This record gives sequence, structure tokens and C-alpha cells, in this order.
Amino acid sequence: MKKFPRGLLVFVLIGFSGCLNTFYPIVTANDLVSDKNLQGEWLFENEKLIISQADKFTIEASGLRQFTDKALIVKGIDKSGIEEFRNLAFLVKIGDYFFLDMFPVFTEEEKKMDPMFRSFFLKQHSIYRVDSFQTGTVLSMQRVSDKLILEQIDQKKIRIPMITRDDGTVILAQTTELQMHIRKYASNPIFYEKDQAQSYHKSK
Amino acid sequence: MKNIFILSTLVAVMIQCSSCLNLYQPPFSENELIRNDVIVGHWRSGNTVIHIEPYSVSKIAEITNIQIGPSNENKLSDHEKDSINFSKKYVLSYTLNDAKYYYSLEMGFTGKSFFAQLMPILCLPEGQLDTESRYNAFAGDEVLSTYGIARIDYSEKNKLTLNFIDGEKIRAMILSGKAKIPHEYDEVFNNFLITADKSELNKLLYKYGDDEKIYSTKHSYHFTKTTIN
Repeated sequence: MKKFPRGLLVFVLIGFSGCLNTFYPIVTANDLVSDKNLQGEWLFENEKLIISQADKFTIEASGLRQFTDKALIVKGIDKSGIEEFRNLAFLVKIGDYFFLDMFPVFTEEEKKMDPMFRSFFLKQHSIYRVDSFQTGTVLSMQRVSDKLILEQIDQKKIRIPMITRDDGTVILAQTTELQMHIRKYASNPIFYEKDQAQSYHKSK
Repeated sequence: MKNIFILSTLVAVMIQCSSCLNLYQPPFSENELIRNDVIVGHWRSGNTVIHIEPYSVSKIAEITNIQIGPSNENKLSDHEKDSINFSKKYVLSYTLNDAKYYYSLEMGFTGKSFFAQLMPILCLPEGQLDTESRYNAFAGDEVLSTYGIARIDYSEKNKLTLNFIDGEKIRAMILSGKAKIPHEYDEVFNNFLITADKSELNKLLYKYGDDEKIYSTKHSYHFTKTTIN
């Protein structure tokens, strides 16, 4: 779950492909699945992921009432115990694989920020393939990369609604179309960020 | 339950009152930008004090140089290395609740008014060089920085007015069909992004830029130049 440096926006433009971020979710309320084995505390080196069922208030404040029963909260805790990020997460099975659709929500620190400043930021969905969690002891996570999709677009093999700026691309495909592409590429290792693949072990 | 409802309402109101436009592209391109250093300095409006400085001498330029580092220097194009491209950029900053906020600010003119296109860069908690937060331009990729617009008036000596366009009002105009402009809206996650290109945005400002109804009542500032020791 390490973060990629994103470059310096309008000032410094360092072009590279990275993680796939989407405007629309890869999941609808009807697709949601739940598995209690995913919930708990997961460790990778000194980093911790805490996955729990999302509380009703967080969901309702986000306007996501239809997701109430199966929405998850994923908290990323760094080695010094600071909450680095907090996401709403939605588990979905697409083809043969399980994926988590992650959508940022404010950590306690982020809630202290000037709301005006925060309002300039658009939250995007990030996508992770999750494996092995059914055992209840190991959670393997691989973040979906934009590399393969951008290559396919470049080679005119696929067309996907998107917008591009100097600092990256926002995929604008709707949920059904996103699921179609994920189903197609899910087993291809190039579909994932190599250094974003991590195996967590359950601690609680 | 009642408390939760009230709290939800408060959160919703707070978000609505504080929303910027969320433009993916800025309305003014590089060759349309205006430089006028009359905006440089410290400005006070009530308890709010902002600081505007040229990008080249800003804290952001300093941090940027650190962030780029020698290993990434060769990845920059000549265009990007050209400091002239930064000559029309300013950095606006202010301190609020023990944190300092930095935005890029560029100016353009259309219709009868000057406009500032602003983008957030960084929030630095007091005493920290926190470049890891996802709510800054240096790290994190699941949140995307967008542009907001404020009408800017510096025609009167030692006075500066910034009226922010209210994103919620523009959103309501677009969703009701009153303004036709390319956008994306995800009702479920309440995500809204204006995807119009520069020329479409320029036309929008030309048409509605002098309509007071599109401006935020909360984020309307009449600054007077001040000196900070």
C-alpha cells in the first residue's frame, strides 16, 4: 500500500504510468460480496491494515446507504502507529478473482484540514485484486496498474473514456465497462503494479 | 439517531459551503496568463491573512527543487525546465488552525473581469514538512487536484478582492440543464468533475463571470494590504 510520488502537478511534470484510478466505482450495490475472513488486522513488515465493517454513520455521511451491510473500512497504519490513510472498501468478484474497490474517506487528521482546501481534491477509486484471504491467515493484495490499459489504448486495441492531463489520466469508464476490462485482464500479471503487491499476515 | 441526523446535516452543509469548482483543466492557457506583481504581498480580510508571492521565490519552489533531485532532472523537458513558464505563476498561502496551506495561482482575463485559477499544492502542519499526506501535490494518487476559480480585482491601490465561484451553484446549474458543459457525475459516491476544455471554460467565464449569483457568499474576501513583521 505504499504511495507513488505523483509528480508536482502543474509545476513539474514527470511523466510515468502508475496505478489505475477511476472516476466511477467497479462495483454496484448488487455486486457486493462479503467475507468475514477479510476483516481483522493484517501485518506487512511494520505496516498494518485494519479492515472492519464500515459504520453506518460513515456510510450515510458519504451518501452510500445502499452499501450499508457490506461496505468495509480499511485503515492503513504506518510503523509509528499513525493512520496514514482511510478508505471505504467494497469487495466484488469479477470473473475468477476478488477485487477491492477503495474510495478515500477522511482520517481524523484530514478532518482537521481546511474544508475549502480539501474541496479542491477529487476522490478517485483505486482497485486491488485480493487473494488468499479466505484462509483467514494471509491476505495478498495487488494494485491494478494503468500500464496495460494505456498500452492497449495506444495500440488502438481498446477504447476507454478518459481524460488526460500532464500529471496523469483519469479513467471515466462506467462500472459495467470497467468490470468488462477487469474480467479480460485479471489473470495477466502486467495488469498489476509489481511493487504494489504485498502479502499480509493476520495478527488479530 | 437524531444527533446523527443533525451531524450528517451539518457535515453536508459544511461541504456545500466550502466547495470549489473542481475543474480538470484550467480556463486559461499559458499564453493567456497575466503577470502583475501588484498582487504580491500580505493581505488581510478580517482575521484572514493571505500571502501571495511569485512562484520562483516561494517555499514551494524550494520544496520542488528538493523533490525533483538530480536523478529526475533529466526527465524534465526543456519546456518544463524553462523558468519563464513559472514567471506568471504565484503561490498563495495562509495559516489556519496550526497548518499552512499553499495554492498555485495564475491570472487571466475574459469578459469584463480578471480571474485567478487556483490549485491546491500542499498543507503543511505547523513545524512539519509533511509531504506524505495524500491531500497534497507531492504524494498520493487516489485524490486528484483540481482547479477552482476566483474573480480577482486589484484595480484599487492596496486593495485586493477575491470572489470564489461556488462549485455547488455551478453544479446545480449544470445538473438542471441550465448550463451545458462537459462533466462527469457519479450520484452514488457524490463525485463531480467538470471535464470541459480550456476554451469551453473560457466561454463559461465570459458568459457567467459577471453574474453575482454564481459566487460564494462565504468565500468572498476584500483584502487590504498589510505588513507582517
